[in-house]
Amino acid sequence: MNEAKSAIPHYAVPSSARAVIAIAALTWRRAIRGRAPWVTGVLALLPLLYASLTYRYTQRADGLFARGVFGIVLLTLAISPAMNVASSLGEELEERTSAYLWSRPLARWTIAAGKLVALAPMVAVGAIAGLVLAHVGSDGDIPPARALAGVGVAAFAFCIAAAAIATIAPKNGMTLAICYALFIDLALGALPISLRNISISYHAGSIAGMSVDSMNSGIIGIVVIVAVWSSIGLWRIRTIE
Amino acid sequence: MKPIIEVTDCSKWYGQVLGCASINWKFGRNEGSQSAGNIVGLLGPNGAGKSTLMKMIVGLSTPSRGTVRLFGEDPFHNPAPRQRLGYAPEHEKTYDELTALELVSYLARLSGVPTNQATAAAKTALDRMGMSEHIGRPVKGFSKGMRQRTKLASAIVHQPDLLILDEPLTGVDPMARIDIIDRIKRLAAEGTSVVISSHVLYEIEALTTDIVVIYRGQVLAEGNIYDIRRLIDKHPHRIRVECDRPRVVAAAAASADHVTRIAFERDAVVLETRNPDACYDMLGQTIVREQLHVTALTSPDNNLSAVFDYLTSGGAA
Repeated sequence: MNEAKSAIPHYAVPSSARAVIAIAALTWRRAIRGRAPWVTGVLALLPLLYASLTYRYTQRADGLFARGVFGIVLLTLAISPAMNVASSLGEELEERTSAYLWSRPLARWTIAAGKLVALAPMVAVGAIAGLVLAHVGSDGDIPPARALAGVGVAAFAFCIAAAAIATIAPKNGMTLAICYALFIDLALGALPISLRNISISYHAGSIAGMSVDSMNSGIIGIVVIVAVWSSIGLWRIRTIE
Repeated sequence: MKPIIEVTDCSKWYGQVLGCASINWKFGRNEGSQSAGNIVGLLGPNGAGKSTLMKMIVGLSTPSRGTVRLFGEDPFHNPAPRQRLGYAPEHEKTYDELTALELVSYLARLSGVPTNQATAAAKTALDRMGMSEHIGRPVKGFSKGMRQRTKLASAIVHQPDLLILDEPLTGVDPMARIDIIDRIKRLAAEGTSVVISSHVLYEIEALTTDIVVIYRGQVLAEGNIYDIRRLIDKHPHRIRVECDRPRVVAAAAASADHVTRIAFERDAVVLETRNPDACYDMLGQTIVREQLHVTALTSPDNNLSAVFDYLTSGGAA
């Protein structure tokens, strides 16, 4: 090695926090130049459309109306995390651009964490905005804080599930994440059976005060589901080649 | 002092498919290393196992058997040795939404360059790769040569000790190829160790005399390129020229004694020669004289496979 090269100091290995922030910044920059803002915006308007039509014909803003709007917001959460988080992570793995990141001095999990840090708040804000717009645009009321919290928590939970699914099946991550949310999570959550305890949407309803279970049981339920999906995702991302 | 790269009895299977088998190889500057030097070329036909070996070295995959050490450490689950590594993968796909400067800046940050220095480091790296005029353009509009340069810039942005370049000249036009080779040589001259893979002997030859020949997942030979070249030159060598007027190239080739076969493809002509040096000279002169617009100059690896088959079948004895 010649002297000129020897004199150059090595940069320090970035901390995990720095790596996550850098990946989040990279993901955010790519996302805002892609379809993410449009998808999130259009999905945020769907509950407003439903609420406006329903309120126009019934002129009632009772519990049934609130549950209907909440259900439509959950339906948008079957799509938005899949289109944002699962497609972003899935493409990264499938198109092997992850090689640019994983050949750097980073822990592997920072890729998934960085993407979630960038995209999950966007999904959550979109869903909460959808709920607020739906109520303000129809009956004129702002929805209760519990309902907003339920939607926010559900958004983060669906994003983590979508990320984990994308690590299992990168090529079809988006499709599988939508199918999981629509045909498993939302379907189970709507059934009066104990299996609904594995449903994010059911526990989100408990947090929002729209089911017979308490808020605490809803929080515990979502924490358990998120822990399971996180473990699957982290295991997969640690072993994927 | 340990070698920079130490591969010991390393095998990799993808299900039933063998990626590489029982590879032993050291690369570094310490005494006793078989491949000491600034640049070493991994030579072998497509599918030989070059990329598999490189992925294990950079920590993208883990060996099914054996060990890989990068700067003395396991690179798969250990970020530290990767800090001293720059890697340019074979595939073209990058973050197309970003400009070249943004892409290299973000990757600089991920290599430990402080955020407030990342843009300056990226500008320097892109400038060193001859991309200073294009730093503000989105990557999606780049030619293959510009993409390769951008990948190389992102690999050197944190001033690594070791560069691993997987087929960095694939699809690059002849002028850009000469320029990139020159820039890689300059990096090596400044003290960066370089491992470069190719299936084209003449690309490697332009960079180094130190090669490792890989075929069907095994290290077939290691050492001086000229010994291998003598064997390869006994076999017909194919050169594919993609240009605006392939018939002009064919006419010039027809009058050369060393060209044994001429075939046309769409917007291209494929020459078969027993004297590649003379053929490349003839091509260069024809391109300049006729002012041809050459978009690609490639050497299909059939000739290399033929030689390796010849070597492994015992014909060389």
